[in-house]
Amino acid sequence: MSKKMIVLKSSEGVSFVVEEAVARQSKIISFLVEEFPDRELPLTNMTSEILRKTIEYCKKHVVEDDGGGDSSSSSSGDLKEWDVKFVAEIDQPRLMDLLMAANYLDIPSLLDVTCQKVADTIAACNDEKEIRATFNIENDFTEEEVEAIRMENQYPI
Amino acid sequence: MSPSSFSSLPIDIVLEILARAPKLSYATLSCVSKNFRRLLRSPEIHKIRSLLRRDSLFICLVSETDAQWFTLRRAENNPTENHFVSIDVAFPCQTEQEPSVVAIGPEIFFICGSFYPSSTMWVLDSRTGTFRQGPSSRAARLYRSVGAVGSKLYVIGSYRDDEVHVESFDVKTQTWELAPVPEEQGWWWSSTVTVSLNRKVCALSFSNNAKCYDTRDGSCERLGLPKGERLWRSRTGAYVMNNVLYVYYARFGLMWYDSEMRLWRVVNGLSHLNKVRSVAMAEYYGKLAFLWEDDEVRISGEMKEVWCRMIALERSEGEVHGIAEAAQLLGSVPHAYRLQHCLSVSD
Repeated sequence: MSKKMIVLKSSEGVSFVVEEAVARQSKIISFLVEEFPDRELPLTNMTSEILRKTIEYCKKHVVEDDGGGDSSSSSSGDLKEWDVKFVAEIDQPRLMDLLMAANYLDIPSLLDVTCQKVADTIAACNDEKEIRATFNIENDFTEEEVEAIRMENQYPI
Repeated sequence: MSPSSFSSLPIDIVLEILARAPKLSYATLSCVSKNFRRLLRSPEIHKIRSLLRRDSLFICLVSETDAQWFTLRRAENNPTENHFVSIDVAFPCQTEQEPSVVAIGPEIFFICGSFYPSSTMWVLDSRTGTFRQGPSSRAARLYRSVGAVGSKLYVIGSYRDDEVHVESFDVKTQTWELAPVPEEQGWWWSSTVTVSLNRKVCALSFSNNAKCYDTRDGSCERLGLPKGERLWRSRTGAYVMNNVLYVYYARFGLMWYDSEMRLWRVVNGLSHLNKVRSVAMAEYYGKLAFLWEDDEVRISGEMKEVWCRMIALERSEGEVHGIAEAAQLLGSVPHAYRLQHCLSVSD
């Protein structure tokens, strides 16, 4: 039996043909293929690069239904390792884009690993200045306000 | 997509990210922006951490001869249910009777030297339940007060010539350093009840006074405790949450220290709660976990019950208001055991 395929189209108009089971890890796509079968789905706010990455993740995480119950294509330990490598290879701006894509397409496990990677990056920063610089965040505190927070007990010395 | 910046992310995504950062980094994260600070103080962040099961309590009850450890953790897929489970913690140092115990992040530090001078420290990793021997302090010391300020442990004790010195252990660099000598020497620093407040290590004494050591310059100041009851009745009855010191006195209930006015005040909204003795307190997902022993109802004469109640504490102009959840029976222990440590541990 041949697998059912669907077409996803990136913002640049590039078409990606993927197995429906792979794409259905996105709750949004899952909903859309039921509402609009046999149509290609335009994802106008996703670049080809991010869409390709998202599909790569979904392919790895697809749970194949072979009739004898669910069986993942990889063991959960291997998958975790794969996830760590997957997000480690992505640079900061693309990671944020991928995170937004996971949010937009509603893929909870991808959202989890990308959020965790961003959190780890934050935790690896030495101080608040480095966090602001890394993530392009504006400092809206006065020096006195920061000083008051530093007086609190948990602020590292 | 828009250029990657935190300011373009929806609030619920920023919350998902911040909830996954280690608790130890929250003080630094609070200084990043007003938005970060607000989110880190919101109940939502604790809801997400609760679903991720990032925080837990490590509770120790001791008898004359034995110590029994328990954990309190969120149940999987149920952010309102907690599991109280007995765990096997084999403290490797048999000769050490009463180590000082402090938690920083996911690790619990056991500082030896209660009866014999010691420079030994053991570290329990709460994630694996295993001990490792930490680096030894520079000198062996006897009797001590131990407090955590930022990412450092401060150990106050008498080293040589009965002089009181302080050493600090930096969790980040895993190194010991000499800290400023306390201005005030003497018996203060043998207290077993120690809290950290405003970057000071405060030793609470039997005489209803506390002495606070400033970690920056060694200056010391006195902090008067509420009159009327001795704190030693329960050594776990003092706790600092969000930089506010709380103590529990059976007579007055839960009290907090207004450090600006230098006054003790009763936490409002809790007067309907029964008076209890032998309590322990620690932060649990943004709320105060309030544990107590109930030996009124003796089960078959030899056991007593351990109860817990989560209390949300909200500070506004000159008052702290408490909202108490229903009491939960955690379990029962032999009558000879009493609450010794209650530690908030988080990833």
